[in-house]
Amino acid sequence: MLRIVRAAARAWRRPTGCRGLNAVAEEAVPQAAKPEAVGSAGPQEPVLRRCELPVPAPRRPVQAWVESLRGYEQERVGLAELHPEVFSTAPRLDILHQVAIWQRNFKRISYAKTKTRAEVQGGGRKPWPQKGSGRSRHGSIRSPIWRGGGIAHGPRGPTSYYYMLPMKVRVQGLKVALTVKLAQDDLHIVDSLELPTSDPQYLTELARYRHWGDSVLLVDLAYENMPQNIVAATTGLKTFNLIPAVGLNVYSMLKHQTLVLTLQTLAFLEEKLLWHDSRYTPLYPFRLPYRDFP
Amino acid sequence: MAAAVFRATLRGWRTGVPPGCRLRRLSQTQGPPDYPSFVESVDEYQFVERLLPPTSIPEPPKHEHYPTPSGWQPPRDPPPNLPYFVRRSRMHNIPVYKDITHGNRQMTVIRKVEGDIWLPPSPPMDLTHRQCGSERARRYWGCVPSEAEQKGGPSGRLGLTPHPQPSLHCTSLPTKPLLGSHLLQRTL
Repeated sequence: MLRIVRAAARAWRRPTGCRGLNAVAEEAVPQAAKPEAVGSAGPQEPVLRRCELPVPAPRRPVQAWVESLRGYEQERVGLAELHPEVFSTAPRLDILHQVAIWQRNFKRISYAKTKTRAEVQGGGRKPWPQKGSGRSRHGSIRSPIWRGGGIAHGPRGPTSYYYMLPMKVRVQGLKVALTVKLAQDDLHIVDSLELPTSDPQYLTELARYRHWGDSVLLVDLAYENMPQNIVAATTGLKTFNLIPAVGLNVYSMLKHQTLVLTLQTLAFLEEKLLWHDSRYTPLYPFRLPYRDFP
Repeated sequence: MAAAVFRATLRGWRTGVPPGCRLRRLSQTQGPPDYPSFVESVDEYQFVERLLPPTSIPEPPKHEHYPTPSGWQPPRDPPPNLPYFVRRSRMHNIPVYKDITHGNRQMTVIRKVEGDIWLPPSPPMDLTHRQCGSERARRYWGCVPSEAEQKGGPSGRLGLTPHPQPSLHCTSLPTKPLLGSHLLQRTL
């Protein structure tokens, strides 16, 4: 079965100049060829990824191509199965809206403050007597109808717009965002974020060749194991951003046109997002110790 | 000599130590200095760990006879070959609930419906169509499926949907027993 897949994968892969030798060698030893080292730029074993977590019975996993960043034309290096509960949920745009607006607003503290008539300097004395002067009656020169007076209903002090959406709503927002990205062909799975060069030009040219779009969000697993080339390439670029898996959020996914995940990130996200489907409601915050978490 | 004895007794009188005993430091009174210090042990933490609650809901155990004494039945395995599927709640129960609005409008809500419920051969809500009263009342209350419901609403809830037209709300139905739970025996 794997041989058929390997043969099929070899059939439509387009060999480039630098891989000509490897292609010839592969044709010479057809079926018994061992998979080559990962570091070489030649054709590799097709990557097949199954869902680790159980898929409920009537639904089947969604499939996506696994690509590679090592060569311009290394699209479709393998096939990955994605869990339907994460990548094929109902497209709840209202939840996306809620979560995106929450992300913008919950950190907001507006520092605008104006002085009321009590706080403006002066204005304690009645400017002229009530009757007899012919002018309209006033009690202080700092009332809101006066020029230079206080503001009647202005912003008062630092205002916090903090609120928290329920945890399950935020989790569902992430699932819906991943679903929408996959459904609109904006999600690309990559075996790893290793580049042959650290030139930012290479990354932009690759994105243009593969029609990824203007802005790309690259997601790796953690800061520690990010390859140096991709870090150097994305440092200088404004629209290509590299984040760890824990930094994935709905606002960034909607802001960038394309999302690129690695296989390890995929496993991490599926595990974390699906845990919420079968958990108890917390007796105390999850940051305190439980028997089986984390 | 007498002066020395007098000085010693005076010293003893003032500090409360009987004459003839010198004052010694506390560390010297503890014993020889090669005593072992205290031992840390983490083995007793198991008594704490078994008191911590779990976070994930376990699968229900296998019983010999169904339904169980509480009336619970596991979902059918493999699931029946229907165009729709009603998923169980996270506590493995049937997702049929009661709702009441305006103080007198009682509804039955079936959540977690996936797929197309309006395809032939038989939609699950046949009984509601018959019991809803006249054709005019059924149309008023939306027992006739609207365009959006025929495509399958994105929220997957029957009885209450985010669409403006109510669908499958039948106020003339009794709430006991819960409508829909016997219909769902076919699917669950």
